[in-house]
Amino acid sequence: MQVAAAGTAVAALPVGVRELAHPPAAEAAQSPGTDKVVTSVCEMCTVRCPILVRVRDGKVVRIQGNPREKSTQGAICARGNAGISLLEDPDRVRTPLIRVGKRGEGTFRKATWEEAYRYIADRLNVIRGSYGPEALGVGRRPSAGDAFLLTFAKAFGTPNIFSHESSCPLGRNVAMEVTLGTSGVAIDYSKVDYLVSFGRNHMETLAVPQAQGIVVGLSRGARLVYLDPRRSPTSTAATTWLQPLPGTDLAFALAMLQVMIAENLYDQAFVKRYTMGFEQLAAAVLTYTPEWAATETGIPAGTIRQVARDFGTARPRSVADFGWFTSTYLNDFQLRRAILALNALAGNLEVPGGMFLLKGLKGYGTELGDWKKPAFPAVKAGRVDGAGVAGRFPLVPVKDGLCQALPESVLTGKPYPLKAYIAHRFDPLAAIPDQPRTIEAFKKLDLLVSVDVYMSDTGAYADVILPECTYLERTDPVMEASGLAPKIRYRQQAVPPQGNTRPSWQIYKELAEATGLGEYFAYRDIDEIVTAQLAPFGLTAAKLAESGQWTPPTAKPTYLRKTDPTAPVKLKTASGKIELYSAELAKMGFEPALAYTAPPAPPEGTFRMIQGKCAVHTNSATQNIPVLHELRPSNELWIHPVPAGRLGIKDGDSVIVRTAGREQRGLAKVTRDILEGTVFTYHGWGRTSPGLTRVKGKGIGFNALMPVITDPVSGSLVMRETFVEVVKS
Amino acid sequence: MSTLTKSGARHQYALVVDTTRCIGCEACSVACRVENEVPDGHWRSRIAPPTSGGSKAPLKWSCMHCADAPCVQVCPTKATYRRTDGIVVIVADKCVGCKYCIVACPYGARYFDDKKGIPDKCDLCAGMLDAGLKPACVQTCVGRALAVADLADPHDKDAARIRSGEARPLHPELGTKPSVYYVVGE
Amino acid sequence: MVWGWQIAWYLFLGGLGAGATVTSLLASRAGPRVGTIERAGATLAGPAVALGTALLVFDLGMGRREPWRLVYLYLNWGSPMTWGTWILTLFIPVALLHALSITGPLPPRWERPVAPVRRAAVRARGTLKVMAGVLAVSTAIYTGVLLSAPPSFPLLGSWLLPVLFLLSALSTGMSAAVVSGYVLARHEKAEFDLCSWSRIHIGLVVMELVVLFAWLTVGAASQAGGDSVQLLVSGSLAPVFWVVVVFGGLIAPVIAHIATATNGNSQVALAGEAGVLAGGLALRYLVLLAAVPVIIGPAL
Repeated sequence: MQVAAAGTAVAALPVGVRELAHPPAAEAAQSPGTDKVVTSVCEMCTVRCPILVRVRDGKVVRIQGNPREKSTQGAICARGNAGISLLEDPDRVRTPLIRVGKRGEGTFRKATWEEAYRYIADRLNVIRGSYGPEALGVGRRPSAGDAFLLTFAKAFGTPNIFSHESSCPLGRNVAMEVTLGTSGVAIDYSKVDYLVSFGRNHMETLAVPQAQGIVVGLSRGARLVYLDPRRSPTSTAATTWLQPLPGTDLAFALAMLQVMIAENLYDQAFVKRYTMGFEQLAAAVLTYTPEWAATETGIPAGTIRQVARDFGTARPRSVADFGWFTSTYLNDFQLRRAILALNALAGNLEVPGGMFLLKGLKGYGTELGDWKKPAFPAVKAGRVDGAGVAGRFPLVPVKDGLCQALPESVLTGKPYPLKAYIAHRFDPLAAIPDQPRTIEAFKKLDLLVSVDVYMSDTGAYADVILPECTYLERTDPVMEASGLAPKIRYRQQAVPPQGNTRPSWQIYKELAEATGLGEYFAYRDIDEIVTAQLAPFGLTAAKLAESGQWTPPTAKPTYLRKTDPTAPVKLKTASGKIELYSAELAKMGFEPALAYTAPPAPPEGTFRMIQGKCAVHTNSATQNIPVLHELRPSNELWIHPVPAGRLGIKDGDSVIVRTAGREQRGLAKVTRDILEGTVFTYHGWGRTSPGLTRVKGKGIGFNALMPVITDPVSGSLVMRETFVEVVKS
Repeated sequence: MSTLTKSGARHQYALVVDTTRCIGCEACSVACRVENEVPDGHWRSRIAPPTSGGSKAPLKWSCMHCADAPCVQVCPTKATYRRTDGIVVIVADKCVGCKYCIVACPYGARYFDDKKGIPDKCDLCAGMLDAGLKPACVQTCVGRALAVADLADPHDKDAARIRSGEARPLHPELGTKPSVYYVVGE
Repeated sequence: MVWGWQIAWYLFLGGLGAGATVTSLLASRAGPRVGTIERAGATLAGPAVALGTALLVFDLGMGRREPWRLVYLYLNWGSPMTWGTWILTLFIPVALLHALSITGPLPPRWERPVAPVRRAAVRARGTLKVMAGVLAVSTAIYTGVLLSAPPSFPLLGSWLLPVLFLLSALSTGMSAAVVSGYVLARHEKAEFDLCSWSRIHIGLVVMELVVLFAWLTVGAASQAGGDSVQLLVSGSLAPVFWVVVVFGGLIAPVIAHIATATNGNSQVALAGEAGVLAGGLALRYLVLLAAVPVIIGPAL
């Protein structure tokens, strides 16, 4: 019987899916069906969930979560499911393009790869001759293929390597490095009994293993206290949702610390053995009572005290989430430090239901191999952004830097101007605030190259667009995905690259050869690299591909303090302990303990503008993907009915959002789900590239409105300290 | 087609949606869309977000596989029928594409597939269930909020949630006897 | 709603054909002479219903691709669509035979092939009249039942909708028959009594007006029904509803028919008939457009 609703492939379908139910793929290959199942790793966001890709007649027909991964149980999110829609999107750039029109117009001619490489190499060599190799900047969203762009940059001799991190998690990374000696720390979500989330919107900034862990916890009775000025899906899931005034989470955290210390609710043994600076901390928070915090946050003192007591009582299975996106308020760095102090007082390090250090391969004595390359040339010039430099941004890791330094360097020439920029899977126009200034900088560059699957907003300004193939069309270097035990994952090519697209291992090898740097890329292909990576483990790519991930057989999930609460935990801080007080910060002239600064109140007639993520899009990267675009094609300005009424704005009205002479238009969503003095919108819209045919011109782009504000300690961008006027249009 | 449980009784499928575990992420929407090659602009399953006046939780929304299905009643050709295992399906080559079933469904669960020339909707991934697998939405669910219950199986834990009244249908007042059951928190 | 203009025309033409048949049958009771209205009404019915049915078939997803599948439409005795299929299948030929039985011969070239059929039809004229009458009323009611049977649209789910559609069908059919009969009478230079038809039509339209508002009142009782009514009465559909359906299709024709009945002004009556036809079509269209489902889930 043919059943219409099951589609035309009813006969073939069960065979293919039965294969999926019983990985590994090698077993599946013995099935009589035509479907092939390829284990791989998702790249629709940075989480990199393990996936199974079902291929029929050379076409991807379905992507699903790899059920072998315990933390996801075969689940993947909407974006992961929509990978096929990215793969087949007619908007993808499928051949190298060289600009013929004005910058930003998006007018290009098709070129061969050789032409494109020649074009870039010639200009790079001229720039190096005139300005030195440091005139090249490279920026990327960190990915498994990072090594190729970084090798190219280092071989070229530039120190100016940037990532998108300063527009996202840099603040928490730096706070964790300072306090714990590493940002390689994770939360044991599914076993936590009491989780306090300071605006970490787990259900929308969706990392599947984390969200699933929290749901598992909640369903067995764990509690989630969630602070957010806006009602988000995480508010709905939380057992307690609190609505603090934006930027006052720090006051809440400080008051929790105060209560825990005053009421002796902290783990004294832990604090004594594993932390330093408790006395300074206690002194610093002495006056931060719940009553004081109530006036800051707008949350009743009784509620704050109760949360602190519950948190203290539930320890060590109580965790304060240190968050991910932390490019928020000027006091965010202090907030992250305060959150880490809460965890220290809970004594939750390295116990089940607490937080734990990632147990990498290194700890088991063997690391992934690498391909052989000569030593990189010595770098003479300093970085343009002062990352890692005393007196400037000493705490910012040089692998990340400050991506916002690009326009600054080009337009002011301080300390010297960048002349060329390669943006890999990274769209500075969508990531760096003050978009008009970045555009101005682009116009002054001698060379701008975009390596991407789409013509991004930046791509429209580029001289050359190099079309990278998608993650489904390429093999990447083996990546580490360690948790409680070490683990590696393998992104394996499922289908051949479409059109004239190429993987980044090939792009940078060939570009290097055209630039005269071929010796740094002395590999034949990606398989050779993977073989070299796996050699130390006596593992082959074919073996790894069977399940798509691998843990050393001797390694077991490990909590260092599970059985012995006094077991040694090596921390890489100066003191080897959790630094509640940081002498390092003091030396650099930063606040070494904890102190509160109140966020400025919105000037009369303005709103604080905040933004967040939705579960079906990743930053600004996915809004044009057909299926995801259909799910959420645009954003709206959330505004409370009281101010909306005052301004004559009704739900669905067209509005203008204005600040400092700039404006964006969009539609109003009048809702009680946001505080009165605050407006909210989802991030990632306001796109301008003509190559993004679906999303171009839709929604409100906050990057066009926000100024660049940089946190002096962490180098992180500050994106929630902007005030806007809203008028009906 | 295998519709027998181990004990020999016929399957009686129902979908259990635990809204207390649903995070509204729409993973199910896209998994379904891709698995079933649903045409652009249409969905067999979506999430209705919580609303101030209505549901406090996100609601997964798809065909309710009603026991007294209006679509089955009105279908002039009997192309739409309810299988003995409870799944309401459309036999493609009996359907004339009159769209009456789309008009008749109070849950708005059906859409018209222009390419095929007939209406379409969720069939609980019947082909996969028949092969002993879970539907796409259930497989991919991030919160593990979805489960296919077999009411013919006395030991089925999800069926027990239906029998105990913990999981309840949407809009029972319509008298359609839906086979999708929702667990709603306080 | 998923049903668009084709279905609106189908509902309208089906009703019109039914009403024209009933008008023809009423006219036949006036006397032994077969008048122009009797002939015009009977002649209009078959082609009108056939045209409407053709639109319906074109609207079927498989209507043009695999038309042989239409035989499946006769299968489900529980479905109003199946009832309708049977009714239309019988009504179209009966209406055509009824027309043949009371009209004069065609030009010889056309008459030759139909002559035997016409002879048979004339012999069975009495039976045909009964059958045509029954099937016409069935058709008119069926168009309303089709929409009112499913539980999904509260405004449509009312038993008053078939009544409304029956009255509207009679009225539009009568208008079509009267206008055509008038033209035919002018052509044949025959006498034409508009006044008595106007008196009947006034009654019909007044009843329709009453049922229309009763239907809206009953429909407004539920949430979705209320939303539907709001759409018609004060929402985006209100201009068409008040101007074309209520004023042009009901109130103006009443005034026109009163004018005709009192002073015999035929031009005014004809304008009123045009209003009835436009209003009848608009009513079918608006009913489809205003249908708000009982449950509003996400758009699938």
